[in-house]
Amino acid sequence: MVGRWRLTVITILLTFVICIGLILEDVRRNVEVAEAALYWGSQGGKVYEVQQKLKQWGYYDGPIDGIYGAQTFEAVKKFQAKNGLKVDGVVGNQTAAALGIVLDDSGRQDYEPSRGGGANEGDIYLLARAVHGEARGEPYIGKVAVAAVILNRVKDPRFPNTIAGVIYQPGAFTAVSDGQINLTPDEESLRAARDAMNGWDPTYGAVYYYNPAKATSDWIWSRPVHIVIGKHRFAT
Amino acid sequence: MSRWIITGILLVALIITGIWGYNQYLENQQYKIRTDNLYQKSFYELVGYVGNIETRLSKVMVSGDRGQSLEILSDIWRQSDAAGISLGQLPLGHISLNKTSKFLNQLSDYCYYLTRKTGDGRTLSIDEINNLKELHSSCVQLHNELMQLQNDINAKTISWTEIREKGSKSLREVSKDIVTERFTKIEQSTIEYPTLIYDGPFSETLLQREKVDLPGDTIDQNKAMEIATEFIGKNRVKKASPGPEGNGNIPAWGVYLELNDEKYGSFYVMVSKKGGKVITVVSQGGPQQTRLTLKQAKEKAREFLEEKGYSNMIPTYEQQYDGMAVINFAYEQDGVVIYPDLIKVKISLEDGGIFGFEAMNYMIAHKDRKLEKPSLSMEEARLLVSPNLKINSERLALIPGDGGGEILCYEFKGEYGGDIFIVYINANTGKEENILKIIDTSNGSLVL
Repeated sequence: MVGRWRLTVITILLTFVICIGLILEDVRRNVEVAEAALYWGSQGGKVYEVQQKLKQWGYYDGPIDGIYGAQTFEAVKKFQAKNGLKVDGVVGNQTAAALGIVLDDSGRQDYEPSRGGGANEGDIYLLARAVHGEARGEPYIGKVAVAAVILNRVKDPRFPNTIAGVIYQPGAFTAVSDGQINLTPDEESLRAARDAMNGWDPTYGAVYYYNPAKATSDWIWSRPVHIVIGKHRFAT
Repeated sequence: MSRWIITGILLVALIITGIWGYNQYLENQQYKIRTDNLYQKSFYELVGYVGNIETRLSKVMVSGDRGQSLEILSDIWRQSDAAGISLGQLPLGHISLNKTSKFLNQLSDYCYYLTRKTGDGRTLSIDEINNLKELHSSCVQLHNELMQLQNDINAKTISWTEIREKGSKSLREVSKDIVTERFTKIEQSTIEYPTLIYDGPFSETLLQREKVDLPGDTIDQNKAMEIATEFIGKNRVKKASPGPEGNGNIPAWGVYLELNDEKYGSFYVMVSKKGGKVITVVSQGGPQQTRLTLKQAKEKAREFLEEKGYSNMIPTYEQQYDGMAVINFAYEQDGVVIYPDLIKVKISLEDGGIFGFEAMNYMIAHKDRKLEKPSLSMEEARLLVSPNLKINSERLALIPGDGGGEILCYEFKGEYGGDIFIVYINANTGKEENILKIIDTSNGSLVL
């Protein structure tokens, strides 16, 4: 009988203690959130961030010193007025959110790093296919040169802005028109494509090349030739 | 007799039909190639755009400048529009494609809205930044899926026309793959131009049309062959012969060198007609093994430059693949990295021999510069960098400006969420001039 009483009392006491603990924790958290607001006289890292943001966005031109003074106060008011917030000169949660600052660092959205890409492998492969289709049987530098012309075109405002855009531009390359571009490129074409990607350009900025034995356009003959490699003339 | 005539007529008719049929066949082939080319182009462009969008979305996170944010956001807006168009041109008409399409459209709309908001002088709120982070994660996934698909297509050399038309068993599997797996993973409900820097920061070949006059005497072809042999090393060269002449920015003699070590094949060396400077070295072959570390290679390459009369060069960027390293060097003056004065050296990790060299940028850009003292201090500039970036290193750098000219900047290299960024703050005005993102690939790092 006595044993059961004791058990009941202990249970009640324990429940009581846990409840008080939870309430206290809740109060503490609320107080913390309230404390997180920044106002005249605040100091520290978050004030730096606020001043920095305000300066970058053109509301503040005082010193970035981490001290919430008159200038910061005025700038915050200006910012609040412009962004439809309550104009009180206090950086609370809403103003902070509008500034893009988190006052309390918990609960941030995770950012996924973009590691392990190999982002340009596809482009190198495509370039190698174009080189293989266009310059099989040419000397090695002739292959690098063909790849370089394609890359020079990408940079040139007169041509499309992507490697695929330049290569598949209708009528631009014969290997594309007759489907030879779909052949699997050999080692040498891949190496040539990579050399060109890495900035080697034996043509020094050429955007055209032609085979004088086959060229049909009169216009192409009038272009200044930079270099002749194998069967191809490279010109701008 | 009449039988002969009938036979003759039939024969002629048959031949005509045959020719007609063959022509039809050829024409059909032509159309097939043409449509396939269009599909290929759209697909490659889609992958490229999504990659660019991903890079830019992550740049927004570390941008601390209104002008820069505006530029990046409007670029995402433009590129996601373009990506949507490319996607629409692919021969895939499945419902799950709609989600990807919807994602791109929403991204475009959202960034348009943010561009306008930023343009009004309002900041991005924390919710908006969180949304962008979420969009970035989706974009990383989409990009990975697309690259996977690109590899599959390259490996199997499957044509898009076949995917659309025939649907043989294996092809149906591939297209099923595309629509169900690759594209459906994008489960999103909320909500400049492609940088072509594959080879280190600020290393685009200058598209300068005028001829550059180097100091020194005019040399002949024989002297050029001598200089080329000397440059590579007399003990390595078996034979020199004349090669194609260059008539670009710097008129140059071409020299072919045959090497004793056969795995390097032949070298093509360009030597300027005036001044007799080696501008470029391209080699046909390459090493087969890796024996040196990157650090050793960097030191060897620096020694090589020193020996050729290029002192004060510091390595700024490197890539490593297939037993070789390509190392970018920039000139250093009074502790400032001069990016426009760029020399690239390709070095073998097997024997430390130099088998690639490129100094055109250096030849054009290098001059005596008087560097003014910047009006901002390092500390002042550091405060202008987004607080998101954890700065690991900082220094002064001279970078090429968009419209020509050179800009003195503070260079801050740092980390955000596991990615590495380099931020350039104008050392005089405090403007954020550029943000570069470094991506580690299987072939070393890549700067975007």
